[in-house]
Amino acid sequence: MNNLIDTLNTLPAVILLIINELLKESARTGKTPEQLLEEAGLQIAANEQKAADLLAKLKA
Amino acid sequence: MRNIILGLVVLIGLSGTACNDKGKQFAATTDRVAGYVGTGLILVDQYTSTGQMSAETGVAIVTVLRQVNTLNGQLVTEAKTYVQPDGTLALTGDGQQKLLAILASSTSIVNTLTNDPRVLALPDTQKTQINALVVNLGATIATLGELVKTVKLVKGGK
Repeated sequence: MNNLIDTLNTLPAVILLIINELLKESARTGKTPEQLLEEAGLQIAANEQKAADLLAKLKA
Repeated sequence: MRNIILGLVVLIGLSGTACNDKGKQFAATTDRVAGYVGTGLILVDQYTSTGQMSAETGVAIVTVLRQVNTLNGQLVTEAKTYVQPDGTLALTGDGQQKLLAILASSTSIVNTLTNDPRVLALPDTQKTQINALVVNLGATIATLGELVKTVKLVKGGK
């Protein structure tokens, strides 16, 4: 277990995020198009908020 | 490391083919684009917070990601008109042109990051990861374009 945790700690952030994307990919297969569009809409809204906050922080 | 990232990209692409119809594939792929934009924002936040990327470069990348996100929102809004409950994509000729125009804008915007001198000047690790993200995003937008181009069109006023 400690080895696994050590390995995970050395992985770049992008790899962990891509693994997360793969898990989300698996979850997408059981959803209807309407549900998928709804989820995309929610993620887009969250992205917009995150981008606005990040730009404000970076320009401060 | 680059090979691992590209391998995962291929895996994500293959898993997308498990969808049975183009409407569902289109909806899932817009969700995928949203996911990559979110990933990019998290990366920039981490890099700029830890001093691994300048604020100026961060602003440039976030600005591009925000524009792609806005266009993806337009795609989702349009798709709600065309994606049927059974998962098919009931697209008219006008609708196809509209979606392709949005996708062309997204591709053009993403491509600006590829040759952005601020991205090119990043340290190798950060540059590789941002490039991997840009490749993912561009490939996913291209997948949307292929879906829209190859769908069987229906007759209609819109």
